[in-house]
Amino acid sequence: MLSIKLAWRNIWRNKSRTLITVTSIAVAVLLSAVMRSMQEGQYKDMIDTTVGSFSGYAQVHANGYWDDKTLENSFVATDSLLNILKESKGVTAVVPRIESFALGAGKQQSRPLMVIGIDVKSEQHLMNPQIRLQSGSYFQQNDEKAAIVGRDVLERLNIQLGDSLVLLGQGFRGMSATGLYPVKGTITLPNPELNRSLVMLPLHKAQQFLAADNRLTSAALIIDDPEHVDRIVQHIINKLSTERYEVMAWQELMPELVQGIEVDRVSGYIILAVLYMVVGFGILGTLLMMITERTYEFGIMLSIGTPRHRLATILAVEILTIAILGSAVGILLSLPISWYFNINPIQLTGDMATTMENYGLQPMLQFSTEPSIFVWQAIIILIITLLFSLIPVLRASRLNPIKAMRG
Amino acid sequence: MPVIETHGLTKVYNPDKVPVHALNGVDLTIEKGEFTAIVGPSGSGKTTLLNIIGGLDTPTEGKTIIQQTELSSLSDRELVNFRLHHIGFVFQAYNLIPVLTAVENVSFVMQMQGRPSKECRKKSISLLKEVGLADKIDKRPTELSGGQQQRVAVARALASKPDFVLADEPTANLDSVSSADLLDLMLKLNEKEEMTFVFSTHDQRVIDRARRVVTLVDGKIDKDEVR
Ligand SMILES: Nc1ncnc2c1ncn2[C@@H]1O[C@H](COP(=O)(O)OP(=O)(O)O)[C@@H](O)[C@H]1O
Ligand SMILES: [Mg+2]
Repeated sequence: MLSIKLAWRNIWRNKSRTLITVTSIAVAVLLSAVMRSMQEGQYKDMIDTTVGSFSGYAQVHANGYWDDKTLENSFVATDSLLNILKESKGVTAVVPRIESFALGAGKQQSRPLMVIGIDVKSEQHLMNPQIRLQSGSYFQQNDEKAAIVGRDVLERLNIQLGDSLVLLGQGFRGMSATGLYPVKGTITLPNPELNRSLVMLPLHKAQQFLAADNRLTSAALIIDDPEHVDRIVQHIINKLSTERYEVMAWQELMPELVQGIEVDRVSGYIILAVLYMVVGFGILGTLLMMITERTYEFGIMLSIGTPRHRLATILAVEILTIAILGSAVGILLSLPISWYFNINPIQLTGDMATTMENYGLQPMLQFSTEPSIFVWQAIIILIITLLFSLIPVLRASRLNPIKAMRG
Repeated sequence: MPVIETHGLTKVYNPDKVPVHALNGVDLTIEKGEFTAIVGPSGSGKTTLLNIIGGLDTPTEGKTIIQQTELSSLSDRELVNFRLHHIGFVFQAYNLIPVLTAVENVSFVMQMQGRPSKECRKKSISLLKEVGLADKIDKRPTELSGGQQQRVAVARALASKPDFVLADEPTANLDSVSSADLLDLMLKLNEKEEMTFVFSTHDQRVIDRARRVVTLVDGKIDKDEVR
């Protein structure tokens, strides 16, 4: 109580110095929190666009499929399997797919295409082609003879909406695969590669085309909370034969994405570390000044019998109060900024935008408002403050009273 | 039973470079209730002696015994605690913690002693009344005159219920009226409360009013008169 009273009054004793210190801590917290918020927002966007709206947060395949993506590594969509998946806790939907490659032929051109058979209903949970339609309309049912293609496919094959697309390829067990599908719609996806080469067929038609009746290459899982993905994956692994199936979380499905995010995060931390150091030395300077100014006073306090640890406590409370004030101001200032750019993402233009689009990302920066980002920045700055104040505080509390009073 | 005893105190500053012999064998005994002035020319060792008696400095040789405790037997931590409970201090100037009011400054030592804050405040107010500052209890040191600040310091020195009060040139920064007032106060407390005072001074008007005058010359007791 006494320590807090003393700390509070001492803080206002030299208002301008306190103001400068609080401001520098606040600015550091503000910068670091906003920067982290921007980074994490970007990662979330990357994960959402690639994982949340294409691969799913987890997938089940036949064992070995992910290393060797061929129809020979497909599996039969038995009811019992699908039921196990659907009934697992945390799984809200199962999205079955069959994927392969085929040659697509238009009037004069032919191009390699990625053929993906989708369940017309459940795919709305994942890729949601219906709202991504650029022209035409969505499938009605799983055995409809029609195709929806990426927005650049028509141009590459030199055909038009309503024209027929000829697909040639190899089906399950080496069967030849041929088919003719009227193009019913075009779709825009955040990934330019998919825009150039994706062909979607209703699931049953795709299975027919690939001579793989009732077979799937993957079953993507829609889950209630991405944070629970590891638990859900483990739960399903325990229930399925691991000889026949592999169950993978998105981190395993997309190690490059995870690694890219990690590398970027670390480079962010390095910038932050420099910022933290600047703050730390600022605090150190303030403290040394403050202690030099008050050496005589500390001498009096020690002479009349103030225990050394009490003196250290009084000083520590003082610094901590300043650090808490600075952190609080920093967070209070950063929250509205991050919140604003969360609701109104910064739209990027020019080279930056092109680069991001090439990586399959939307050309915008949407900030994250994840509370832990802000709390962590405040905690880190508090820890830095304490670390940098340790030596001056100990030095002050170990003063020799006579020397301190002699000045 | 003496409150303070010193035996053969010597103090050598800078023993390795240019040694300064500040004390050269001081034997001094002070009984409870005495009112003693330590006098002598500048550099005669008054401050050094008071610092050693107060447990703020250690002698090169000799020992200091306060109420049967030999100070050299105490660790630094025990010594701080000993000062807190047994010795009241008044310094030449700037005795007070600037951000605390008069009453808070007086309470401070009692709070360090771990006494309940309500009791501290009550006792501090009555002490401030006793030193004649009833109307200044909520003033900060900067709002008080030099003489008033020294009175608060005396009140603080008494607050810890010490065995004795040590004051190194308490009047040196005061005008003659304030000096006389402070001395009146110390004498009154000495008579009424039987508080033991040991103070240094080189102000003749102050010396004239002391009951016992110990004169130091070159770090030795030259004269020791009781009046
Ligand atoms: N820390 C110190 N280092 C070296 N010499 C000192 C120190 N403190 C005091 N002295 C010397 O010791 C002698 C006694 O000083 P002091 O006790 O302050 O005397 P007084 O208080 O009577 O003026 C003086 O010669 C002084 O210069
Ligand atoms: Mg002196």
